[in-house]
Amino acid sequence: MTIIKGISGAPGIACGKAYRWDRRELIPEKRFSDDLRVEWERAEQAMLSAKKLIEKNSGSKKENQLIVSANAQVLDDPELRNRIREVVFQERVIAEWAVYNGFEEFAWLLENQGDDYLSVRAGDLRELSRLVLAGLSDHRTRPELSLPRPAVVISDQLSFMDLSPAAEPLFLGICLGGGNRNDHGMIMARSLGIPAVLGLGDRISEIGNGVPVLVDGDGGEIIVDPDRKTLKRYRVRLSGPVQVAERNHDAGFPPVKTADGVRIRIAANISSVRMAASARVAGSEGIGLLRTEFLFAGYPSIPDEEEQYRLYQEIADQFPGQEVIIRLFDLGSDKPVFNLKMPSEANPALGLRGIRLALAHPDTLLRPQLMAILRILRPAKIMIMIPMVTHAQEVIRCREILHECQSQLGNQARQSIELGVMIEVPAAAIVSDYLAQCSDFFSIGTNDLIQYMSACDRLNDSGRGVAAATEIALLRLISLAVRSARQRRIPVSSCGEWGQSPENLAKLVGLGIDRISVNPGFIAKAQTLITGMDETALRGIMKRGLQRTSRVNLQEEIAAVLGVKERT
Amino acid sequence: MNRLEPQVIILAVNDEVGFHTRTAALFARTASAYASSVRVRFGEKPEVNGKSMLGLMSLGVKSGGMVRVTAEGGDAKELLTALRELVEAGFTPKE
Repeated sequence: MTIIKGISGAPGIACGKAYRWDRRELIPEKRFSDDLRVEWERAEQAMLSAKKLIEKNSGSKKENQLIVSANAQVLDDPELRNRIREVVFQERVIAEWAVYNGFEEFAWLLENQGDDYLSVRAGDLRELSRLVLAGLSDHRTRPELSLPRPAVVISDQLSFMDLSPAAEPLFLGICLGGGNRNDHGMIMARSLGIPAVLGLGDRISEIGNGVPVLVDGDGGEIIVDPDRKTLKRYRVRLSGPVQVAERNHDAGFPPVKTADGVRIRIAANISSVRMAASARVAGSEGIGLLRTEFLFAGYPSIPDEEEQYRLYQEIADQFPGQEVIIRLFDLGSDKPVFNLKMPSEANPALGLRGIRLALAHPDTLLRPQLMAILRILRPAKIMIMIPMVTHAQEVIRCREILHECQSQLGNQARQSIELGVMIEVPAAAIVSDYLAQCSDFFSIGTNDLIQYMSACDRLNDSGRGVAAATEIALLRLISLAVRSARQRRIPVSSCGEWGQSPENLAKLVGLGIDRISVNPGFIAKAQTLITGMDETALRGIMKRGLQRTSRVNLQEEIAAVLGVKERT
Repeated sequence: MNRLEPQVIILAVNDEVGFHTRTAALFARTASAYASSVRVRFGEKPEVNGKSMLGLMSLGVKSGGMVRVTAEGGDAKELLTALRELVEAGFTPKE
């Protein structure tokens, strides 16, 4: 057991196996070039790619978005760009050298103002420089930190880019040799709740991969290979969900059950191949929602069948034997539409979107996607989900086209595939008894269901109060859909941000939903919460709660049940 | 008055930290919305481009520091008004 003292970077206690991440420093060589125009174009291109990469990796936290937009703005900075351009043309050098020097000059300027705050910003600037340089080095992209399992990350420095939404769920804790409390990486670690200790110096180089490390982000020290007594001392504070993720991982992910033994499946909502990987490591039981429109975000036109097939197959490969629910393109409204010509609509959220748009462009939008999905023959159980269904005719038409695609592909196609409906329009919930006769499963999309039910824009803050006040209406709609599904014996799941709070998760369980899909970062927490729930009690509460006209008492009862479970 | 003559204002950067990431970013972003050029001087240091957040940060302006802002071009006056409003509102941008 060794104690190494540092300073607190982010509060909290974590314990897990070490994962060493050595970042290679990229200091380019000074080389001359004959084609300076090409060099400047390369530099510009690399700055642009870095900016896109940063924007792609921006999470949903408001604080983090400020960091992201400020960093993106640096990459557009006119003076920085001028300087890099000058170096290329005056020194007649390659893009790498010009980029390195341009950033270095500004970092030096900031460092030498005798201002601590600005010195830290110099560090952030050098992180950005590394990102741009990585994009320049012969298509060798920046080595991305992808953890094979939940771990305590040991490194010299950490950039805010390392804490991308896909990677951060696997961070148990952070130990840095260098670092600064106020650099962007640490600000993000604090907002994400990842315990961190920094300024640990060279001694971190002695920590081997896989060695248990206890990170005391409150006391500002780490304990390498802690003994039983130390662990016991910390155990009370060590009950966070990330520890559960690691424990579950080591135990080979036992099936998740409530305290009274009801099996609940926790799957993941994902929008990229990387998110699929982190969902798998976090113990997700398949994919409950693959947002295909985001998988191809940034494509200038609709991806062809082959492009789609490749990415779907890559995701299916990660979940052998498990369900992967692929949602057909949910385009229109606030989502991008590739290069489709859209009518101008005063209210796009109530216009041509989801399956309506797909059925309006069956040959360009719907068929290639169905063909690509049907070609995934193994190893996951593939299911297709239709977004924005309003009436049964849409499902019937979709199934007809699906059958046509199957016969066209012949034995290259999956012959049996489930076609389900996303319940997110109130009309669909209300006629769910009828919809259940023509679909193989339901998934309740709470985000849009709330917006359409309460007539409140989900992106508009002023509607928050109304949406909360109409929660009983939402619960009744969900319960209608659950009842219809039960009668036809088809599975019903839930996906959507609403279910990602302890109280709402409990309400879903109480309503009889046994498949819940959440973001990869919430999987470990959902598993822990479920394990502590009493399904019978929750069912009783919800049965009575649905008859009420206000949510106040319901909220209290749910909180009481969850609270009791936490204490025992 | 000839609109193309350089226009000058003096602003007190009354933010808690002076020009730092957020304030410099907002200042540069506001200035970039106009066609006129804008230069910022602080103390004895060389003038910097007011549309460059890195330039502004490199001035090392502390809280309460006075900067001299010069704008030149067709919409110089509007530009300076926007900057004055931004700084006087304590860098809370208008949404």
